[in-house]
Amino acid sequence: MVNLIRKDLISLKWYFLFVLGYGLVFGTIATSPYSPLLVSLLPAIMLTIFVANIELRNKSMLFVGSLPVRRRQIVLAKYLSAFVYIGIGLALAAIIYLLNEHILDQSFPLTGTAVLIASGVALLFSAIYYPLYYILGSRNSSIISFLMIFLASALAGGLNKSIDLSEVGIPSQAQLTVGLPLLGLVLFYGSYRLSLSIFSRKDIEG
Amino acid sequence: MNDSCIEVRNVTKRYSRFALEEITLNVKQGYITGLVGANGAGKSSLIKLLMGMSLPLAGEVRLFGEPLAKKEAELKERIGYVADDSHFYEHLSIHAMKSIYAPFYRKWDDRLFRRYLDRFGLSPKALIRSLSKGMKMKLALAFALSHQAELLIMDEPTAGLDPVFRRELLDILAELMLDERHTILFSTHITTDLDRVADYIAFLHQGRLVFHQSKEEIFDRYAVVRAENSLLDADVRRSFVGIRETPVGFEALTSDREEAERLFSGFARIERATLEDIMFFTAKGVPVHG
Repeated sequence: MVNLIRKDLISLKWYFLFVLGYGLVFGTIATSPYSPLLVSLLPAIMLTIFVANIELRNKSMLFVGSLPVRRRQIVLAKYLSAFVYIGIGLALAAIIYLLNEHILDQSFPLTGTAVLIASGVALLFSAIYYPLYYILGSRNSSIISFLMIFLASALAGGLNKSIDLSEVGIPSQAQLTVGLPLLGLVLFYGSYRLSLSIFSRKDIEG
Repeated sequence: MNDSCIEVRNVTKRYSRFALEEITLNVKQGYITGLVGANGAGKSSLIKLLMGMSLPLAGEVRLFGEPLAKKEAELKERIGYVADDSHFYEHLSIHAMKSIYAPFYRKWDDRLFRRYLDRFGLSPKALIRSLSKGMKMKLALAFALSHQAELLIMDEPTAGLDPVFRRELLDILAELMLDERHTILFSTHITTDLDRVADYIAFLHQGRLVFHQSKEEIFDRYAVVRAENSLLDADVRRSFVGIRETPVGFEALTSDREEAERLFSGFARIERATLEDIMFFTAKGVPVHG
């Protein structure tokens, strides 16, 4: 299991620099009130899509299928890696926060609410993404990419329009900060069961 | 004691335009078995079933006496697999790919891997995308041979390789067989490769297993009959697996050499059939014969 997660992290290699670059640009230069949320959230989404694209491009599912692992482990590793990507996004946001506060001397309001909402939305994203990934398979990778760009834009756009963290009322804020991660976790688990059921009955394709 | 390393029991697998139908095959431990057949015969599909990548519609695959479906991870640890194409991460170096691959195998032997890289002229720093098809095949082989696998399964390993490395690969397989614990199954449509190293031949045609026998049994059983067309009548035609007729005569494949010698002795030339003859005439003749 750990080896499967490790495999994805090694395969990402240079893509981490892209994520770092994104964080630095949108966290220190092109900033907005939503920067803390987006810098926490988008790395997790980007890394999820990058890993899948690397896998699809190299037809590496066939490589994974030849390894001494069970299908359940393959699916579980994919879902657990979502937490790793969320952790990377939050770590990056923390670094940008420290950079802004102590070196650049500018505001970067990284709040607990932003962290929880980012985690919840990232979980929701993975919960939608992975079943599609297993249903459509590598032969339909272009459809997955299109759907994911659409989904990521919709999520980011929706957040920008509907969530003004400085103005939401206490009940709404509580709902968002507690409800969204909880909803994300519930859907995430349901999504894992669904993906496992799909992948257990499907041929591994390149 | 069960001496089969691979047992395929009545396995059926259907795709939209192709099906493997009720394949039963026992691959003996300690031997090289060649899986032969024309393109599209079902060789890669069968290998994917053996690797658990495809799931059978019916039947069962057992490896080392255990059902693959129940002990997939444990069984695959004992298999070295070489795919027909490279599925490694192209943007990584060989060294980075090794750091992904090695931890999956408890018996990974790093020294052995480095020895194979040296032997194949591969640098650990080389990016996989910079390697030619032949070099990628060598890399896949180095990975497959470096975790003390007991069973080596290779899908068309010699396709697209230059003759020098093809011979070298066959030599490596022969070397491996000095250790009697090893079993090798490899698919190919290059029948001369099998002539060189295979002990057993399994012949697939249109998704069905035509035969699985030792090379000696096959060459004892099959023969090519060459004679004048006047010898051909309906009964004679039926007795052949496949016939090729020309204005000056015919050549045909029989699966009963003794019977052919009894019937045609003195009227026809009866010669040893090559694997290529068997493949060619089977494809031209009836779909399956016994």
